Amino acid sequence: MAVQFETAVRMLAYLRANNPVELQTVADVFHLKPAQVRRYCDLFNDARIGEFYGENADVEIQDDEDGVWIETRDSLGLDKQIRFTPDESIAIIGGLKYLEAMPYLVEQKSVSALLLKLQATFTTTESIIEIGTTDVDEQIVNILKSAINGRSCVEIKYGAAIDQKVTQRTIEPIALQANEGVVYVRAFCRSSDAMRTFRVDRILEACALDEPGNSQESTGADFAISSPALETRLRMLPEMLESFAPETVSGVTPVGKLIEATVNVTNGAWLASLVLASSGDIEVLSPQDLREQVISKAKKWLQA
Amino acid sequence: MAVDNTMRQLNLLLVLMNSQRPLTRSEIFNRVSGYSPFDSEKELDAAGRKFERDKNDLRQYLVFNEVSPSGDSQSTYSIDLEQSFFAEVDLSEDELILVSLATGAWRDAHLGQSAAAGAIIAGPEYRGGSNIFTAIGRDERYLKPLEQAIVQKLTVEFEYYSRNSNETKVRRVEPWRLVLHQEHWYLFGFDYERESELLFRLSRISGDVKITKEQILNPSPQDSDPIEIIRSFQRTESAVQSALVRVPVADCANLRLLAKGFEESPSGDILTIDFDDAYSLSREIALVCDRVEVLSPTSLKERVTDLVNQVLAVHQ
Repeated sequence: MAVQFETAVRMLAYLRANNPVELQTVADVFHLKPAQVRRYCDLFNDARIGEFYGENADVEIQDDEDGVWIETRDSLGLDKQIRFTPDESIAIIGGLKYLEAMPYLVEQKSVSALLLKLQATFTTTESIIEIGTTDVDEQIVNILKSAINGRSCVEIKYGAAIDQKVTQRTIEPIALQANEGVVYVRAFCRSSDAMRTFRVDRILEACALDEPGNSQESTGADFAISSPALETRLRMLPEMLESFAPETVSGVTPVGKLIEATVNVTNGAWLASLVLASSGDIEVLSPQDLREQVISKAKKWLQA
Repeated sequence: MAVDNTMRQLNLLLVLMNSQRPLTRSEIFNRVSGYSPFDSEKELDAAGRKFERDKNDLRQYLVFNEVSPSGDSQSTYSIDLEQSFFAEVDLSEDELILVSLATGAWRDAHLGQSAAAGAIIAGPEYRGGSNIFTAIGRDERYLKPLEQAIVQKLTVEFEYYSRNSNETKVRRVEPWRLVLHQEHWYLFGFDYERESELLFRLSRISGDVKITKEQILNPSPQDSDPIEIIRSFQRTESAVQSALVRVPVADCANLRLLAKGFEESPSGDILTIDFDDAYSLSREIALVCDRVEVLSPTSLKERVTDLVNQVLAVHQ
């Protein structure tokens, strides 16, 4: 195991500031295994600063009924948080800017005030991150937030992106989530009898219900999507590749100024719609029935 | 060995922190275990090289003072304690939650490797203390090298696909800022090819981002707003028009989300959609063209027909 100087100094400062602390907590904070944390503690006890100062730290690991605890008795004044590196300042300031761009998730005023406070303290004050604001219906978010806090149900009309169908559902919202600037609500969906994640910007209507929620489901993040079931071969302009998740694309070969690629999709109807809106920039090479589906839908418009 | 180096650096840090005055190199060598032996000139050279490496490492985290009043041998070294440590910040519980959320947001991005800093301030217990979860984005491999280049103020080179010219070329760019807008990451910087500021969509970069040794010459302009630049590309100067489209009940959600209102009719719902970008709206209509009818304006209907004919032309 490589022992990092930076981690060692930060851990010593952390141990002083959180004394005593559970070994597992330290492992979580520093993304290390418990055995690695023990190794760092051994290092602190072994490190000597010559005969001038004696031991630098007295770090003791105690195993008792409540778990494994680390107690720090002396660390020669290393009880302050060491200066933040530019990377860390960027992560914190960038993250706060992200929250600031989502006024519906957290109170914007608090985030802005904290940004000012921390930017005045960090050595790297200029943020290199810019985040665009997210356009969602504030009224709908407020209904969802109230339901989360009050553990109650909400009736929503939801427009699925895959087939554009609108369904009415009763959901028990658990948490608001944001990923890449898109706001989602994680909820127990009574209509599906399962946990679901809905894009808030695709909720057409929301109505608070005077009905308590009873779901005990996990509040963890879940962006899982079903496995792609249909393998297609497409010819397209290179820029159209951006329409597909990178992990679903393979076998890309240039054909003049176009490319051909194998794209795995979960739903053929979704792909047919995308092709219809591409103004001929995407061509379905296979499977043949999907190609025919595109032609049939296009002809339906022309015949109407 | 890595452990020996770490120990030596820890000892060096503690000696300098706890000294009442700046120390000379020989005083440091005598007090810090890890530099000895240094009896011969060769050993002294080796110790000197170790010390130089340690100084460089420490400088990443600390403000290291080196004063040379009369030549190298008399140089003294100290650590500026005021500058080196994160000033006491009195954070309320709500602020700790925000810091925890903010650093948590980076967890899934490459930049997230720095998120531990937030955990040290906020403590891991705050992570589960809220019913809000945030993430900046998926694993975007270009964020980390670009962030590094921006911080170090170094020029980068990468292969970039240009939509205008429909070709991929190597671009040399002075990187300024990373921008997240509507689910896409962009690099905002000075482009040598066009000799002007430019936005590059990260998804159009291919291969590796090469960080050069060339310092940037053009500082990041404080009066430029990259998000406003992206928005200005998306805006059109056309006047707002109104369209009427008929859609089946409980269908065509994409058009319903754009509609300002609707009327029920026996043959479906009639949506009223205000628009200033006929191209974008015609693409939305084409998405569901097998079940939608444009009642007005005729020009919009013709645009959709053009799009559909282009699709048929490549498929028939």
